[in-house]
Amino acid sequence: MSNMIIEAKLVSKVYLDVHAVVKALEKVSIGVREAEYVAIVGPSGAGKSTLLHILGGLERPTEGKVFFRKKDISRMKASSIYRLRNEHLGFVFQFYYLISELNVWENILLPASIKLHYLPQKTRDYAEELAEMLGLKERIHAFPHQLSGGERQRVALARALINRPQILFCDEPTGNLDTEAAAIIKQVLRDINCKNSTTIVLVTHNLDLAREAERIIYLNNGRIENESSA
Amino acid sequence: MKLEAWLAFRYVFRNRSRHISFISLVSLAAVSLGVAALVIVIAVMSGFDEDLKSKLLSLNFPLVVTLEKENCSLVKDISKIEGVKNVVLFSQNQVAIRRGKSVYPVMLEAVSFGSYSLPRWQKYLKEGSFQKGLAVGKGIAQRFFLGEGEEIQILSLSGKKLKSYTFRIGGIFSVGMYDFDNTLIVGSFSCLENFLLENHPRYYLGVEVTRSRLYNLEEIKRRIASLDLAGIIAITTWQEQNQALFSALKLEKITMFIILSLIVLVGSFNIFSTLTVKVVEKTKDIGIMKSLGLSPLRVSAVFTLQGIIIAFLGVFMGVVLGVGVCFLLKEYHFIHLPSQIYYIDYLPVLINPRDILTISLASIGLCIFSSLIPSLWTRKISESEALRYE
Repeated sequence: MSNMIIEAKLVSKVYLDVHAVVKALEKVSIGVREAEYVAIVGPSGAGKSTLLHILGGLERPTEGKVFFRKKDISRMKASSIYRLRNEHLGFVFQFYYLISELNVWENILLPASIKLHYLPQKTRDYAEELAEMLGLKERIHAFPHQLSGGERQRVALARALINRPQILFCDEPTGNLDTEAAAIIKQVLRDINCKNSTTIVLVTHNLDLAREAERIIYLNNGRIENESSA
Repeated sequence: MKLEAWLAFRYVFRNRSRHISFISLVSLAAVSLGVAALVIVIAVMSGFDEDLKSKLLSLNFPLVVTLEKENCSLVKDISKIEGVKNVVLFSQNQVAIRRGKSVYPVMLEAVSFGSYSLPRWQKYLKEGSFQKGLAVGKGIAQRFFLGEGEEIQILSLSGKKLKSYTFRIGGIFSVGMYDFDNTLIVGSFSCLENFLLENHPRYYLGVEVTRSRLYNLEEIKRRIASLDLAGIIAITTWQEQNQALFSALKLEKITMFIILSLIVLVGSFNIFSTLTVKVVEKTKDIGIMKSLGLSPLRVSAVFTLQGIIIAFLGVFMGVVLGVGVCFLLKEYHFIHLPSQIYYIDYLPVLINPRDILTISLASIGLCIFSSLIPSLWTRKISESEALRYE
């Protein structure tokens, strides 16, 4: 377990609703090794997205600890978490969440612009490389509303990769796409994992996509029910 | 700050149609109109203020020394004081005109029509001349149907006796101010010689000063007082003589500024509502920016800067519009005032850079304050919550 890049130990998450107390996660422990491709599957409301958000530092657990390279991020200062997310983690969501006022090129470069005041040429070259790899080179000046769902998700993927993250968190990345567009995303994720050794943590309903992962974790009612390796 | 400014600029100016967003445009228009209204109204009020001051100073003296008795030696002494341009002796007496059965109170002023006073009065003379007899104000002439060459009976209370004098009207003047045109009769010392001998009027010295001293008369006043206190009853400045008028004008200007600031306040409230709508509309963007590592402080700066952009642009456009309208008003006098009611038949305009700076700074401050509250709300938006549901 020495090469764990991210690790959750006995993590619980409770949401206080007006009518009830919702236990989204209950003492979940999970570890992801460097360059591993892990898929988390389970029915709706199982706590998959909550677990992904907690692992990615988007949310703090009610109980338990989360370690990124042995550093406890569940107790980390907010400013350090923002820096960690910007420099070491990447996120892809089901609904893309591109900034509609920015074009493809600007959306891709946004995380780099957050990190650096002036973008060096090598970052621009890398953005071009990503655009080329994801088949966006011809659409670089287009705005999100001018793109198809598949293209938007590829832009979101390029944006997540621009700062060369160590872990890529994907929350239902093909949930809104047709079979053809989903197949492209599936291939791209496999390539990123193999060629760049980027760790991927994927939440999906799509079992076809989940089967691409080295390890599949089954989550139900906020608990890990089963784990299987490819 | 470069990224935040760039994002703010994009949010204000670039929507799907690549034009300025409609809600931003509404806020911009509201701020611009408010500022333009403020600039125009304050410029017109300053114009009235300045016009009134120049009219008052054209016939009133900046400093008036009230004498115990006629004292010509003091004229020379005061003339030597630094900043004094001219000293003129004149007298004033409260008298009444009798025309048929009606009696009307007026002020009879005796002036020495020398090289200084004659051109000063001459420009207001509508008919006749000062050398031929008394000059009466246009209002008095109209009231009693008086014309050049006609005789006028003046009553004066000397001691306990009421005396009557008859004078010939030499001319009619019109200053354009009610007080002068309706209550003043002017004559030369030689014309009023007998009247002055019998009525012992109050004598005054009118002190004309250089332009730079016009608003700083205290030093001259102090030096006059040190000359001959025994012969001087009072020394009053033109501001003291018209204190009530200037106070009213100042109060009116401040009141108008406050009232019209409400328009800017409405404009700034528009910025508040625009940014509130934007914060709600852009919850997902806020979530994604935070998930990409943009700190809450930097996210709120994106929204504050939107308010600042609208504020600066709105104020700039408002100032341009306001100054433009003022320039047209000044050049073409296209708004006419009834000259019978007002002392002027057009809207006078004076654009004071200090007023414009005050209006601009106050408006920008108000708008920035309005944009701070919605910007701070962005800090409460959790990235996890924002990105959880579509």
